[in-house]
Amino acid sequence: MRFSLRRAGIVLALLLPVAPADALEIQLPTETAMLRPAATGADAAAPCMMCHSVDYLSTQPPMLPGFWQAEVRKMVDAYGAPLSAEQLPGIVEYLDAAYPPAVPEPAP
Amino acid sequence: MSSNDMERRRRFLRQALALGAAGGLGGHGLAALAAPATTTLPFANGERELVTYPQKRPLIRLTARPPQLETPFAVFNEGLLTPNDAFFVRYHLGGVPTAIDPDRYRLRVRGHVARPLELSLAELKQEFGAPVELVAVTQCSGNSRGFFEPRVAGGQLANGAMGNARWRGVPLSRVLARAGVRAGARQVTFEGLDRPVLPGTPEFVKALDVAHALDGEVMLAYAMNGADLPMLNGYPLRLVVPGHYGTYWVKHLADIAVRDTPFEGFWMAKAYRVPDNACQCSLPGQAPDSTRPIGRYNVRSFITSLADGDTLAVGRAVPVRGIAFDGGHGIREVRLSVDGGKRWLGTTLGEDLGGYSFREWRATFMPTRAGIHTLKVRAISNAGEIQPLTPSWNSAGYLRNVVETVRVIAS
Repeated sequence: MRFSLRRAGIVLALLLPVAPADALEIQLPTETAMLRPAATGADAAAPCMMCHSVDYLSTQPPMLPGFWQAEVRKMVDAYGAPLSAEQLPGIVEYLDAAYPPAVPEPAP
Repeated sequence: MSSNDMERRRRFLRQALALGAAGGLGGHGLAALAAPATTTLPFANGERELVTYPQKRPLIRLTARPPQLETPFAVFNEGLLTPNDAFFVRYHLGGVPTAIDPDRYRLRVRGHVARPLELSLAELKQEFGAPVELVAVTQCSGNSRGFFEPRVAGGQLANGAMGNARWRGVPLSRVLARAGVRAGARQVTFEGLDRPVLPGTPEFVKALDVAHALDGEVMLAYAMNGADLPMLNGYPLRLVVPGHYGTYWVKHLADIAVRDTPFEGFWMAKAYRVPDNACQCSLPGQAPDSTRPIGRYNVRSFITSLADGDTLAVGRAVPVRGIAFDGGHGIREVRLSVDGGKRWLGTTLGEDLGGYSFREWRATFMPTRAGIHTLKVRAISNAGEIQPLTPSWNSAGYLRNVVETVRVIAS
């Protein structure tokens, strides 16, 4: 009885993803930033979260019109985001609505 | 006062009020626990949470995944070495290592070498002679990007994406000597254990010219400030490239490859590039004619003992101190102005921990009238480089080093 329990314990220990005693293991805190609601719905931007948290976009400053179009293009061209050509306008439309560009200052 | 100055002044008063309010929270424990502590960096869209990460004290969270954490600026007044638990964190790729067994960890050295190596951490510590130590600043290329006007895209950092530590490790040159760099070698690349999430995302690989890699100063560091590297600062081994922007200080270093051709990977050929001109600057809306990889730090200085909105008593002298650093020549002189830059006074430099370290400066300031006093600090390096009075600009938001200003109120 005792023997089989010990064996079961060993089997269990082998199955659990426990790091060795002197390994350094950390757990990262949870993400808190959420996509801002917008009329178009935030679903379009959900694929962005494959690679990064929402704060990657929500902390950007108010930029010139066309900024989100260029950013989304960069994600595809430079970082290999697997987004179809049909998906892109919806993502840009959502970002422009939820994180709008800066309002141009009137000429002095 | 320009409209810009007015806006800055409004912001710091708002901040001062917010700090006052936060100071009164002591008796309301539950309410304070319910909401995450936050801070507001002094630029538009600068609200941030303060979050405690493993092996860290609460730091300013820029992003959660991959993690980017900024050091609260008050930390730089605690001492010349930045504590490990307050040291800033910057990753590029979503696949961040969270468990590393030092017994199974291996550093590979391969490519244009006579003898490829695969080294355990123990071998690295024992087989390459006495360890070396160096106090050196690491600073994000985009440190202070949030202050750029016009604003630029990228990580919106205030001034806390820098830190100064005593690094301990093995000179890279000794490891490359053991591997035997072959004739015709051009560059050496470095990659850590962090990985892209998608197959199409470029792996984070950085390159140094062979002569630089062999200069004896570039180090494979396994400890900082007398302790193992924290996980988020590159445990168990990171590249230390003294005087050069943090992008080269590859964390969780696992692969070194010597090449007989220049490396053209994304993180060298497309990212972390600066205008290829004397000022490393460009005009908003105008792409520079050509660019080159970012290199050494320019000269910077900060006031650390006073912050925007601090109040002082008229007629009472207070010590003022701060830090200065550059890309390795060391600091010759730091000047302080207490009248918005009309007159500049000398300061006393503190202990010299080496040309790559923060250098302390000290002075005394006595406000003689009530109202706002505008303090400015300006460093000159041993190479004669002096901080500019007006900021230069580049589209990536790198290299900021304009003279810093702190406004205090005397009453």
